[in-house]
Amino acid sequence: MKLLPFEYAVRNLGRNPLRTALSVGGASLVAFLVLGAAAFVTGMRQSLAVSASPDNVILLGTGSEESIERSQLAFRSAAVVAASLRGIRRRLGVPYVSPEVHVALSVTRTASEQSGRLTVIRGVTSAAFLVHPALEIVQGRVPVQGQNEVLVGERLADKLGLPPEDVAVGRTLHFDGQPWTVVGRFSAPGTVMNAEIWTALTDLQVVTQRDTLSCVILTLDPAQGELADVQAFAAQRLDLELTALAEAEYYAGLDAFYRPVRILIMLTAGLIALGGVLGGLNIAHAAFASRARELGTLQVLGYLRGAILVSLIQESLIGHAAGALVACGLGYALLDGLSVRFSMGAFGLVVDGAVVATALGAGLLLGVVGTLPPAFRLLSAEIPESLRA
Amino acid sequence: MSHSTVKILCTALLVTALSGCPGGDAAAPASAPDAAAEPAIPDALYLAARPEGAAPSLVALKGTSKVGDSVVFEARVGGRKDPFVEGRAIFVVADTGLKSCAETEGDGCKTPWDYCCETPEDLLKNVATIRFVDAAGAPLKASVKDHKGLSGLKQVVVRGKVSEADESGNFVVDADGVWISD
Repeated sequence: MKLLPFEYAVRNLGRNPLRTALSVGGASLVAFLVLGAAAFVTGMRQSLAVSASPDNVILLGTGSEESIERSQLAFRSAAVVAASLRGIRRRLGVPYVSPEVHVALSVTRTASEQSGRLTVIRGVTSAAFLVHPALEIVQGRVPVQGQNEVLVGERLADKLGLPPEDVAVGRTLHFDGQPWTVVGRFSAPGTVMNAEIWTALTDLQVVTQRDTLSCVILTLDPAQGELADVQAFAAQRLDLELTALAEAEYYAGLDAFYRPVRILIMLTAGLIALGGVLGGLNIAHAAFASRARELGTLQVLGYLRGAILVSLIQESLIGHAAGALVACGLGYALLDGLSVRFSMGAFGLVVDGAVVATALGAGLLLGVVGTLPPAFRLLSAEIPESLRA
Repeated sequence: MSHSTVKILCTALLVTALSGCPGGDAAAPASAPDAAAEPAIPDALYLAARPEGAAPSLVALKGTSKVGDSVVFEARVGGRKDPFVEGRAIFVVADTGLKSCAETEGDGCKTPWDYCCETPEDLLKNVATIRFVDAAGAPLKASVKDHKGLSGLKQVVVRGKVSEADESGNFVVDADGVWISD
């Protein structure tokens, strides 16, 4: 089959600039939307996946496997685990065992503000910095016990909907009716911790009036211990009422919990893309109808219908690829890293290779799907009929 | 612009856009047990006949037994949401006198073997941990869940030695034989 020159398709785009602009704009819009949805899904999934360290095990209260905030453990659990369980990683004799309290409290800038945004506040000891290696203090210092001091994550301002200077070192935040001085800022890129507030374990226990822990997080030495050993310990120390989960398993459960949200977002993007396809069909119908005589002439010149179809698809694909590339460029510039709040904290949209490929694919698919029906309709007409159009 | 130049440009754009897709998978937990390496549980540990003289009450037995005592008692598998340990020959049993959620009319509990209707304090008095151990006293590295029909609420008779018993309510028995009812 003799194909039409590729330049024919390229030059055709310049014959009707308005139509081409509409086509590129439509493709751009749909690709941008798909890119946004894919960036949201990827960002959320990555934040939950990155939050887990591969050798970490979470000990939760029996029956609270789905939620750290609801879990309650005896305060002595951490000490018992550190003393009794073999296979825990140690550094200079210090076990990687972190007792933690997690609560979601309303945080405000001033005491007079009636309501703030619910934010995860984590009460920790120095062991927390051993078991959460992704976390790095980038400014200030660790809170001192008994001083109502806090460390804040890099994305806390986004989570609270405040300008970054309101949560800067030296500023005061209010929760549970008390002022808390920001003494440091930490970074835990891509994790849910990045939008949390950390304070001394005992300080948080005092204000929340609890003598229990939410969880104990420990890091195993892979050469000496495995998850089954921790689960065996939990099954033998029934008085502690523990359940041991791999940290990755816990976050995988949260990931599954948020799956309906992601499906809804992709579905919405899909429906809008469908609208884009239908709009594109209308544009293509109108554009091809005005070119019936030209396509008839090409057939008279000896080009087969298949060759003309290929040329039409090439023409459409160039326009749609241009639109999709514009969308990807804009998406990368505007959306990548943009903070999104959710109940666990905040995460950044991620525009990576897979997301760009998805958006480009959507744009190109739109080009093919939007071209085929009107092209088939037009090319199915007899040549004399086309020439008379 | 020549035909080949346009083609090269389009191909380069697509290749650039599609490159850099992440190939790595999320880190899997290093602690996943290696099923292929798990030793089988010796069949001799599963008794064909019900042992004679089994104590009917685990609660009473816990009150009178100390570490090293030989015990034979009747119980039911359960006391936790997951009474088995994946990758270790350990399971939890509860006193037969304890009423499971399945025996409560109108209770739609999906995991009746966890006895979640009981208070934690009452439950602790009624449960024990059973282990199949090797010569060194370490639990065998194999799961007993669904092995020889062992499952939640299954009635069993355990024969073995008490390896741990404390005032907190922990009671661990290293079994040398378990009989499972049909």
